[in-house]
Amino acid sequence: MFVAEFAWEIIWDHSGELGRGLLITLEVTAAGFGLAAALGLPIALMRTARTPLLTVPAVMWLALARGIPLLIVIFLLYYSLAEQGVVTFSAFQAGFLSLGLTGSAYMAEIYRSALQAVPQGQSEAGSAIGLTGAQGFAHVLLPQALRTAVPPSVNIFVALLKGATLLSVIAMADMFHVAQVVSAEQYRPFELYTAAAVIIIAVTLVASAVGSIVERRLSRGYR
Amino acid sequence: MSAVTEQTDEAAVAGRDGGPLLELRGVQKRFGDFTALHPTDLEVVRGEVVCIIGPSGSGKSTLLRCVNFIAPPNEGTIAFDGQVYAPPVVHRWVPFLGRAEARRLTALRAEIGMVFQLFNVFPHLTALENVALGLRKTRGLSRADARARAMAELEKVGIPEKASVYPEKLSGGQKQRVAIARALALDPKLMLFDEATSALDPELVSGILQIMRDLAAGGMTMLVVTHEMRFALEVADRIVFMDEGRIVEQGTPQSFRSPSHERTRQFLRSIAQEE
Repeated sequence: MFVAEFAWEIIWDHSGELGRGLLITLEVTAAGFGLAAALGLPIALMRTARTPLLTVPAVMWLALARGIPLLIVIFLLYYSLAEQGVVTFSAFQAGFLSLGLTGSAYMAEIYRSALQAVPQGQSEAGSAIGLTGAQGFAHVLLPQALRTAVPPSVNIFVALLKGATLLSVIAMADMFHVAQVVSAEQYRPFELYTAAAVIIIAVTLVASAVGSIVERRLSRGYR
Repeated sequence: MSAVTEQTDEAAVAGRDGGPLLELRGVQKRFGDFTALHPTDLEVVRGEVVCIIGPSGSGKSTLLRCVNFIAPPNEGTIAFDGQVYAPPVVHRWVPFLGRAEARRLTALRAEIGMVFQLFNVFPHLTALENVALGLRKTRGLSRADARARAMAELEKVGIPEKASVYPEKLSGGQKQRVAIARALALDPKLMLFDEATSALDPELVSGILQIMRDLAAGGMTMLVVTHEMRFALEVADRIVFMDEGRIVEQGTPQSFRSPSHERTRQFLRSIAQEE
């Protein structure tokens, strides 16, 4: 019979390193998510534009950003660009760019569906009081769309958080990389990877909670 | 009819071009292969209240929505307050082609108030903010001035106590009052009502109709799409009957007591049966 002997104290012994790793994971995820959220909106607007001059590049971007696996994006940005002498990114830079560019496609689709979910009468009412297209967008459409966009955006944040563990392959000192290194040194993979998983789950739950708060704040006036 | 003539004279005295405030010439609207509005002419003089009646799908709302280019017509011209507007040019390969014209249309819409069947109040803004938004963005009022003016408008429509309430917590009648205040706040030269009472509970209808009646009595120029025949007969200077995307006949409420077209008689009979 298999009798497991655990040495959970190893987690406590290395909690400082894991904590620093977690901080880097959170930083790179937050930066990546911020980039995705910022790029997603203009991409969504291009995607829904009337002229193919804007829709075609947007559709191509969506196909690329969604089609290329994150791991390959990371390798392309970190190794291939440096090797070709184009630009040399630090691990963090390559990491947040990979997450942000990949995430931008998903965020664009979230914005697009959220904007389309706003009833047509809303933009008509905005026009009817003499708002320009840009004013109507900023003061009527976007505030209503953001509210619907929050819950699916939390999903993207969580996906990027999990995707950030892949950054250990370019030796970024994120939480998962720390777990790998320590587990190799101490030969305690079970404890360390379990701890890594539990920490990620905990952050996921916090992210969901923050999302709910943001959603509630944006939902003033709604049921 | 005499009231109409007087107001035309007033307009001439006011020194504009002396012509009608609103003049539609050959305005046509298609949705794909379907022609919702056949080429239509219509004039509205200052101070006139014109009620448009007709069965569902007769093009009444389409006509109204063409006036302020919420649904831009495909053909024809619309003259308003001495300026002529044509359908905007849209070209899929030249994105910003119609920019100058679009700015003119934005300015046109700021002079025309519109009230919708489904209210279309902004759910993310309080009643006061709903009214203040246009004042701030379209009229450039300061935050404080816009709020003061918005409050005055809410008082006029009888719901000052709802100023800080979000639409979710308002009844249909209250939402429509917010929508009317939102339109009136901009001092429009023309008010468009698109079946403003059709989505209301029966007991809330009369309050909205009273506001519209007062507005008409105050000299507001109004183009009103309505199913409220009694309101039309009482308030309108002129009634326009539409069917299948065309104006079938128009005249004074008096003339509508004995309409000349069989289709109009048929429609009025069917409405009378409902009431």
